[in-house]
Amino acid sequence: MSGFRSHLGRLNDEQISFSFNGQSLSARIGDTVASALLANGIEVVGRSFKYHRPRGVNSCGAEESGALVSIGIGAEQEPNVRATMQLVTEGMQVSSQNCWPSPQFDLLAINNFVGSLFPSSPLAAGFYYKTFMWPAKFWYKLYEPAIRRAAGMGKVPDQADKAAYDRINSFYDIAIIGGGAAGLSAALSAAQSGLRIVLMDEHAILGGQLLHLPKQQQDLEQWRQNTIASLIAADNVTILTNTVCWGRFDGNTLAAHEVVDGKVRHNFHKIHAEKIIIATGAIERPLVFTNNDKPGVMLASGARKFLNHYGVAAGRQMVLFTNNDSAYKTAFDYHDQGLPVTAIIDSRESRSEHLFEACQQRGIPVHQNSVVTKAKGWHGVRSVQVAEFKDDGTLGASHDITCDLVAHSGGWSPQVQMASHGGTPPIYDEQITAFVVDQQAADTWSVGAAQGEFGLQAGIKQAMVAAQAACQALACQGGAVLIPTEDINGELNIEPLWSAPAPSKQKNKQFVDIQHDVTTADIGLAHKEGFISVEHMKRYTTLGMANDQGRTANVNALAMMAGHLEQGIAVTGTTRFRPPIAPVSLGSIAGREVGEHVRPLRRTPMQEWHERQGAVFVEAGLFRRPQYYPIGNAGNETLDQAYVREAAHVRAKVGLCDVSSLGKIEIVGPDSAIFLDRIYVNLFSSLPVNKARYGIMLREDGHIYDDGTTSRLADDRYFMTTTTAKAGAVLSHLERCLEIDWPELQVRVSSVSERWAAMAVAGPQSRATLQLAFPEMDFSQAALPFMGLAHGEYQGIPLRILRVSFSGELAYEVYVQADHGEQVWQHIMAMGQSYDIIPYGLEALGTLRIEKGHVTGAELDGRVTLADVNMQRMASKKKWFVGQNLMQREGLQDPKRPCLVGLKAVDPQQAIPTGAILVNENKLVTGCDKQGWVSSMTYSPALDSFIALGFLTAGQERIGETIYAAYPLQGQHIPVEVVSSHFYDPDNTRVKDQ
Amino acid sequence: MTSALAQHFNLPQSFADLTIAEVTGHKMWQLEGITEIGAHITALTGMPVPEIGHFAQDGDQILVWQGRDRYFWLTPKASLPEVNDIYITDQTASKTQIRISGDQARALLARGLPVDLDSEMLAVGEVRMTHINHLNVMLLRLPDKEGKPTFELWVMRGFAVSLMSFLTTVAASLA
Repeated sequence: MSGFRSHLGRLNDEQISFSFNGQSLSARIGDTVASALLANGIEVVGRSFKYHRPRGVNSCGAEESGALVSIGIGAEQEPNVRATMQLVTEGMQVSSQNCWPSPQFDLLAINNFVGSLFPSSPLAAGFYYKTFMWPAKFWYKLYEPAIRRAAGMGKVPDQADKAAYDRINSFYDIAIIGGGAAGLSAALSAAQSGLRIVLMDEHAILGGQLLHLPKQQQDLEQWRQNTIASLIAADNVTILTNTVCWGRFDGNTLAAHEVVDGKVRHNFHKIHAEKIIIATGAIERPLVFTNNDKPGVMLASGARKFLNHYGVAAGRQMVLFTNNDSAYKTAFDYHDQGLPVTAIIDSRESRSEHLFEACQQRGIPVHQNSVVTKAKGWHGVRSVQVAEFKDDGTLGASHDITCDLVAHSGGWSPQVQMASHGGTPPIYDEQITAFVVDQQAADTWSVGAAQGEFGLQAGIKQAMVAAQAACQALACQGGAVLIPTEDINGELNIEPLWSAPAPSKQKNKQFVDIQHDVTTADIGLAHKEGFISVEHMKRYTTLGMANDQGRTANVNALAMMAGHLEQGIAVTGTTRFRPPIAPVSLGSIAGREVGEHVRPLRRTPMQEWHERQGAVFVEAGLFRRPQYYPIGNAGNETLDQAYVREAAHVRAKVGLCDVSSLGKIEIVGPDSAIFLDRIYVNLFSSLPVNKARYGIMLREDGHIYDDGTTSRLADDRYFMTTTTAKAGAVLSHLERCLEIDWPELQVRVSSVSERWAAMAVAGPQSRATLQLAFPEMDFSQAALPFMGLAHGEYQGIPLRILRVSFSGELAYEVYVQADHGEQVWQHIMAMGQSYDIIPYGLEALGTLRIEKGHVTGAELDGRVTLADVNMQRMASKKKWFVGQNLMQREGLQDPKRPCLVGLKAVDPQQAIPTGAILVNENKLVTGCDKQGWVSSMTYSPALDSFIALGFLTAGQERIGETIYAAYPLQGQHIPVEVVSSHFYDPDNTRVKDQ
Repeated sequence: MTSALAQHFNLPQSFADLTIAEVTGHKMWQLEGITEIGAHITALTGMPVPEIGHFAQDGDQILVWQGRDRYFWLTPKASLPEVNDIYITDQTASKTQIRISGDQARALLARGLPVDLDSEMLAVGEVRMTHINHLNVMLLRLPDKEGKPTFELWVMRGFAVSLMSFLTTVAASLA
């Protein structure tokens, strides 16, 4: 094919430059990569998916399956771009795909020739299901990488994409998909209602197939321009060009992908529409013949648009091959531009006399009852073999015709994907030999060529009626649209031809799906091997997938399968379309949720202080909590060194820990006490004001749900704390209980988690520290005993101080309004200097609580009961509580259930891995009984040994036994002594008695 | 006193046709009751009780519907008297208020909020409980400021930096 710029079409004369495989080329503003490559005489754009055959531009729109290119370089590179859909911009770098060293000479083209050595191609459909089976160890390391390298498309860049993508929510009364004549008409009619209208089209310029017409057809060109101008002038109309609507979802939600030329690369529009008008038009179907994939074989409509819109002749000598009337216009336009049309090959018996006369007037020879049996040439078409097509389907005499462009048309396929997404099944229409939408779904109208109406005036009228109906359904009135005086006849007079017979004894391929190298032989193989359902055929052959989503291949393939099955196409049916129907960048789906915005970070009021101190953080839900505070130069102190140091320091002196992430819930109302008695296993109605109590709540199934302290602020007001992990879930649980289970209770619950900064002051010097920090308050044992609550102020800032301890030391929790959190924290740190205060992190907090035997999320994992953690005595017998009934179940009462124990390494310096299995045997052997598991582990500076908490079958009866913690992943088998879970200060003297 | 955003952003930030600011300096009281409390609320605040999905405004005070028999009252009043049948909880600083004003306010918010921001669908005085970029937020449509559409997002204090980072990043690409 030797394309060239014959005139300007609708483009202006302004030139820009771009490169293709490093070669500098020129284009005009408005050119697509495809039109620019054709204008520069480029034939071979890349190589095909499996066979590495030369491929060029074979259409002019979204259906392009041959000219896939990579745009840009480095992190900005975008692979698999359809050259027909990508506008050229100044300096754009375009490169070929799937070829090495060049598209002209590709070493892997050997794949194409290997097939001719065998009865059927080794790369035929399903070859990867049948080959590369042995040895199994080669699958992952050899076969898959080799196949991936040989097959496929462009390369995804391995650098991070720096481009920005947006996701945009928008709301309209009527969404119109498609900006051809029908879509424009629907939009203009609907616009007159004053409703909010959005019109989307995947191309840069509105007009659809009106752009295929010569600009000289003044009436229709003027109609197009006037209609667009009216829409632009309407305040209530949003026009989105370069925007493909790629999916329709429940509730009339549409997903659309917009290519943007600006600071943002792509937009993902999530469009909520009351009504939808589908005006997506139709796609021309290819004819299938031998070597129909060669550069130079192009859909007739594509060749026409290239000529009339872009001013690019797709070749210098055309042969037109058709089975319907529509393609003749392409031949006429080329001829009228002074471009030779050597012959029209028409497979039909009958002919349309007006077209035949027009050919005679132009001197274009027409070969009736003939087919192109083969395109000849390697890098591009150089001639075609034409043969008589007999009534019995066989071929007669043949001859060759020289040409470099085969424009072909096998009919038109309405674009029914959007209707199909909405649940409306397409049905086969014998008259146009294509699938159409049978019925209008609720809130949706399908109009114009998308509905199989190919006539211009009829399509416009249909669109206008639909728009008016949509407006009426929204209690508004759509307007009238001026109908152009010039019409385009929509009669195809088509005689189906699903594939031209191949020349005898030749193995050359006839492609059904050009993008995936699926041939007529593959369809036959699928039939032979039993993949006769259309869904099976699609998956077995990989037909109809990838960029073009079967726009050109589906109907031909279904018809071929119907032929093999000797049944009608309607009976054979079609696959259901699924989103996306067009390529969508992953960036647009991610939107701004990249980098730090992948998920939000929840900061405590003291987060900035921790960051300034060089704390090392660990993820805890959406929080990043300080894990430890290394001392010395950054990185000098390891995690293990730091947490041991911090924990030992708290035991010896005093430490400060940020516990703001705890859930905090305010419970108010006259029935609050009754409510809490039902929620917790223990009594809270008896709790005096200004006292706190540790509580455990169960799920209805009798397992522990969460724990924490709740303090009583007034007779009818409580302050509950929950674990960090369960904060939201517990609030929801409380609300559910109140709304559904006990609506009679006069109680309200609300989250105050964000209201309070919280900090734990722990260690023997905690009282002295706080007394110094807040001298107006009394922290004596008498004034603030264990589990007491005190209120105070610091510089007018209200304080709420609880004397509770998670560490096992004398300890307090200080609560203060979040905006003052850092101020109070710094004040305590400053006052605590006299007592050598340090901040301590989550790791040391864990050490302290494990030494003390306190359970946390690692133990309360949703599978354990009160008895499992040796807290069955907490359950009050004076009242009913959630979970009480089902905790009595036989399975939960089994004395052999694993229960909480302490584990001490026999070798104190040997770590006990968390998650290790507890076994009796001194080595892991097949059939040995799992006795339990290790839930938490730490090195205890207080005991100078590794210790752990775990669950052990009948554990309380086994104190003193030596068992083994097995961790087969690391080949560890560690002897441990079963001890009480209260490793440290089991009598609570440090907590209570100071 | 340090707001959640103070150490991270110089506010307000201005972009072309857009200003993003933090609103601070008042108390946020949660007022709720067990039964019908409208009359008590009005007696306490001096403001009419807003309908579901609305807020009432009186000068620098706003009374925002929060759910059944629950309101947020933003007022300069540092303390409130006890009122029968109303439970008062100080929620000051629990939420960060981000005010967005300008001709591109809707364009910015549409890049995250699944809410119809059209004037007829979200009128001045209306409030929506919704989400943006995985964060639960409350959206208030305030009276236009100097003829420019104005909105407020209320977000949990702990997420304020994440949300503001998101908003300013997107706003910069709109400019």
